[in-house]
Amino acid sequence: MSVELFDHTGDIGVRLTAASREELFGIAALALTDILTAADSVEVRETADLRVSAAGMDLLLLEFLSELLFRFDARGWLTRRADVTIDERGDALSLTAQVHGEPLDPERHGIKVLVKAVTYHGLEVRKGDDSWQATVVFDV
Amino acid sequence: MYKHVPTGVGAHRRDLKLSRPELMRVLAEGAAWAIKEGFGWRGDVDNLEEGGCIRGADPEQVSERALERGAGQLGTLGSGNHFAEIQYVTEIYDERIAEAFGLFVDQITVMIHSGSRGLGHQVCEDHLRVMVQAAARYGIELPDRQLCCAPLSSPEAKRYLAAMSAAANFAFANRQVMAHWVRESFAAALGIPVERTGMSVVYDVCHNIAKFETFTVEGRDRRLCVHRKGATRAYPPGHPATPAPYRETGQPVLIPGDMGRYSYVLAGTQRAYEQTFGSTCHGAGRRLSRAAAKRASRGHALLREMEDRGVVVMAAGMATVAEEMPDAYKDVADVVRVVHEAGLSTRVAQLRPIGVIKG
Amino acid sequence: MQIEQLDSYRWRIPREGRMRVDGIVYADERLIAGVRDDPALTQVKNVAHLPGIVGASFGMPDIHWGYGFPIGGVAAMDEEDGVVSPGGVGYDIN
Repeated sequence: MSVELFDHTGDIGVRLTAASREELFGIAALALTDILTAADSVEVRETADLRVSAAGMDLLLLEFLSELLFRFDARGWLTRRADVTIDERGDALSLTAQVHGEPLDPERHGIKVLVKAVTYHGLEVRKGDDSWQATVVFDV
Repeated sequence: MYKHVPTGVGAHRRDLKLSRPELMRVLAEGAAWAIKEGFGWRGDVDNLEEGGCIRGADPEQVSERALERGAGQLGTLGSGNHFAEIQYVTEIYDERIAEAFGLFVDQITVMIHSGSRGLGHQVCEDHLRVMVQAAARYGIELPDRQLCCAPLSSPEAKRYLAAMSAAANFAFANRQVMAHWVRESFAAALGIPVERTGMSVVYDVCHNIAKFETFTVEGRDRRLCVHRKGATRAYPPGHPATPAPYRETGQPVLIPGDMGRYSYVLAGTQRAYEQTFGSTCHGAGRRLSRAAAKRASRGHALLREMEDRGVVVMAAGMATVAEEMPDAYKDVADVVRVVHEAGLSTRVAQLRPIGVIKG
Repeated sequence: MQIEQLDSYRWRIPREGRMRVDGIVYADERLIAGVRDDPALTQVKNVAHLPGIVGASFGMPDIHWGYGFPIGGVAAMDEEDGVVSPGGVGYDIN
């Protein structure tokens, strides 16, 4: 499992590697949190459910991260851990997740940068021989 | 000013909470809503692009999620390259135009750079999703999926333009509210009534927008949907859309630079109208990525160095200051020289920062 | 990429392939040298492919890479046969 940040002009990209696609989505959620604030400052105090669907694995990751970003920007929700289940029916993919974390507390969570959106640029989810990899670029 | 204008994440003023019907009015009315609610003076809207309200905005086309993101963000600066800056006029390049704009050497000015915040980001995201599919459905071949689009006559295009215009109206209202708080900050600091600060609005420009505008192309008047992404409108003298005080000079154009050097005020020209659909540049453009800027800032006492340049910086986060340090940007003077020499706009005044607030 | 200098401050990316119009970038020699290998110029070309684009796909002297459309890009589309693109405005609608 690895998370690697890379520079993309004015924005931030991440390259992720994980043993399974569920784990891949889980670390993607954590990577987003860590771009917004120090992920280890976020505690598990509450749990929420979410569900998204898409027509491809790359788009599913985009929908999932966009949902988490929406919950942060609109409601101050920060995710510390995401338990992800992915269901595949032909081309239709659906994801359900339990996300564990807490609401933003400005006293404890210093914000590093605001993320505007999860972008389509360079968006990729790949299955390797014994791992899953993804690339995502965030507009900040 | 730092106390009055919310800059950090989740920061907003307790005295500005929008109910849903009020938010819908913001989206429909733009800056006029803010002035009606007491955030500003009656004449303010006269000097805003489109009068601070884009017609054709339809709040009903803004998604529930966008509304939820926007509800708590009116009157907030945002992070990244957004700022509010106290400046002074260092140089006047064109006396006649400067006089019409009300600018003179050593005058104090304030520049605000902000937009539609999370509401607009969500509008873009919502409609990109729709347009990726629409482009395929309408058989539009694209070299890059992010160019996704729909015919202007299609329902997808109409819905996007209605939502985007509503987001732009939110942006107009957002800047108007913050401009009002800036006036209040000055009044409080000087111990005088707000009306006596003499802080009138020079202009307010959009630089990320698509709008229907009319141009003469090959001798024929045509209504065009002009996309300006990181580009500013620069209408010439005599254009009916230019506010009366600027009818003889051309529309004011505001070009922010980095926080350590200078910004510019320009005026629109006939050449821009004829060559670039009335458009000019919008700023400096980054030279270093955010991470590279942070690396370059290591070992620098940035706030102290800015103070040595005569600039006081107040920011919600030091990371932003590092990412936005002057060396991270190209010299905006180079960009301005090109648009001036090429005739896309006329250089009017240079402004230097003395106090900067950042998200 | 082929770029022709038109005058001191204008550079033309000639129409080719499925481009509908030329690309025109405003810059001096130094600024154009700075973006010569930048994907932003490819983006100026890409925008020139869009249906109903009128005149040219323009780049301003502060042009740099953006999502889809370059930042510092201007494109005017005909009301009747043109398109609108959210990427031509970007996330930061203002």
